[in-house]
Amino acid sequence: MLGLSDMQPRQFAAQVLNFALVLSTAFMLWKGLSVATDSPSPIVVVLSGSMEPAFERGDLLFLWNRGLDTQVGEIVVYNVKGKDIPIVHRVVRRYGGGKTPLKLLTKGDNNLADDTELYATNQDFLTRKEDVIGSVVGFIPFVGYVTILLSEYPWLKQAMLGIMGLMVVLQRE
Amino acid sequence: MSATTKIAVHSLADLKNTTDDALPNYLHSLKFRQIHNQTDVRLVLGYSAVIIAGALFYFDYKFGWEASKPYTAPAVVAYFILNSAFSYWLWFVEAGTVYEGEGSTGKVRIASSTKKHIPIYECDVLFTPAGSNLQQKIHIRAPMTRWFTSDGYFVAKPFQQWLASEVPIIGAADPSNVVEEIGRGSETERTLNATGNNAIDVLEQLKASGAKVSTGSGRRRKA
Amino acid sequence: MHSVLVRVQNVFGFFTTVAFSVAAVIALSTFIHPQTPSATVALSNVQVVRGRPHYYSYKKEEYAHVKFDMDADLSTLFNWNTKQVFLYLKAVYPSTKAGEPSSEAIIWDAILPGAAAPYNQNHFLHPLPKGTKPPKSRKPKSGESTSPYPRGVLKLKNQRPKYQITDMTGKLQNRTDARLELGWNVQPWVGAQVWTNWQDLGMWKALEGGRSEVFAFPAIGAKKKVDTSTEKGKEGHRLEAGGEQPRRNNV
Repeated sequence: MLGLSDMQPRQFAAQVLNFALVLSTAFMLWKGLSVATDSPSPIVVVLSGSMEPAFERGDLLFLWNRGLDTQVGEIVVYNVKGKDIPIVHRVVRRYGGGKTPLKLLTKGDNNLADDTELYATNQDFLTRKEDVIGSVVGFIPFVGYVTILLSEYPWLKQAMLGIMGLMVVLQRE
Repeated sequence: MSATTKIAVHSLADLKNTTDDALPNYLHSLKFRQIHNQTDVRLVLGYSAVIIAGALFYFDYKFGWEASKPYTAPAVVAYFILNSAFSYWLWFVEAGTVYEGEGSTGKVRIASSTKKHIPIYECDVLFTPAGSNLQQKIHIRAPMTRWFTSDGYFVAKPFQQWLASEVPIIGAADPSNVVEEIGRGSETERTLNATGNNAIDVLEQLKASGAKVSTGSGRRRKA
Repeated sequence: MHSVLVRVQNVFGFFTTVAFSVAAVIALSTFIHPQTPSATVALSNVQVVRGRPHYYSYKKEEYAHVKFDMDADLSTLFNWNTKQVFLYLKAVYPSTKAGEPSSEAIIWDAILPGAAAPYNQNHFLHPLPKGTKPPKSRKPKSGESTSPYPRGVLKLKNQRPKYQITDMTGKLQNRTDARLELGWNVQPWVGAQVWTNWQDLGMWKALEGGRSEVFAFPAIGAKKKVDTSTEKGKEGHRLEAGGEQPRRNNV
């Protein structure tokens, strides 16, 4: 079963294809979900405790970005301009939304102050269209904790991918 | 041509895979030339889907979500169409084909399968003897115990004998392996597509290709 | 089952399938649980002050301090899949630009825990009616309610808000047609997030009441000192490292 040497080239190509198909199907499903929800990241993992007790670190959130008329009380995920960290907080104020762009102010449930300090300099409000990447519609607890572990220990990611790759190429089930 | 690797005897998948690997090797040794069309089509379909996915990944990595948004939807659609075509090809057209090839005694195509949890190796064999274009289809099966030892080694000889005895074309190419009794006895079924018109032809060809027509199985009826 | 690895794989796969199915059943079952929420909201007092509402405000602007009365019965919102109900009261007032939708701002919120939710410092502590002695201070057990009323019932009189409201334009005085509106977000243990339903939705009746009368923001008060202290929740000034960082490092 583990004999790589007596595999012919076509067979080897077929094995590699199986592995590549698994990866690409996963990637394409993710992209398909992105297109359906119109969000660059349709599933996010909660990284900080600023929304406790609603969300803990490691919870998985499902986003929907097609509801552009975000209401107060909804939970949105946004990126601070210039930074790449997604922040999950609740909308506490809204202004505009007709011809002028919709402006939102957010605050974490577990934070004393609202997010004005987190926004970019001279930015007092988020713009719904540009800054927000989605609104939370569904939630599964704990499941995302694996990704937190993977990002905090990057060698884990390499190890996992390596093992998975080896197993798919060498086994034929 | 004994395998030197040991496999887990209880794993049906391992048994089948080892047997599947041995089949082309045996036929190759009989100077059959393998036709790779099916495999090639499958590889082309599969790899083109993978290339689309890879291209989208690269584009997204380089240019980000906003720039690649107009390309993402068509790429996803194209990928899943190709993937479905690939799956269709794999499941329905290839349908488990392990070997397709041509030799001096004719063309042969072998598709193998196993039923869940039953260690019997089943083959659908389509063959066309040399010099005719009459395609025959037979279904042969044998328990895997015929060519595996109890500790998991594959023994080629009984496997070759089984194939040669059951499939006339292979038997014609390898008469030394055509035997009456291969290890333990087993049931073999054969269904020949013999209609009223070509029954005589089929019988003549079978005789010519060396299959042993069993004698004494019943009284010969005078035509 | 020819090797330990295969057995482990099969067990893990089965576990995942079962867990996923159970979660799906739980998530869907909340939609057949009947709900009949009702509330009355009334304005108690409103003041507009000119000043710096937050420590990080860099300019003086007009901000409003709105006190309210609320009598709500939201006990039917709680079911086996409710982790918490985030209740909020928002002030809705028309925008200065014609044709724009109303501006909205939350003035008060409360986190009402579900029965099985572990204790968190942010959980809402219902103010005790006058004359009741507060119980000896101890950490309440999970699910225990420290409120004199059953879970989901709130009766607040002359409640101070948690947040002052400012407007983008910086001007709030003398603006008319403002209203207070109640809203909630039910956070499930697993499944879909739900917000206030103003329409009937199957077994879920719409919210009865929940809107106050229309009022106007008054002019800025006379020179006498006004009490605009807000209700402070127990949230920490928590902006987690690696998650979010405050720009300024005062406080």
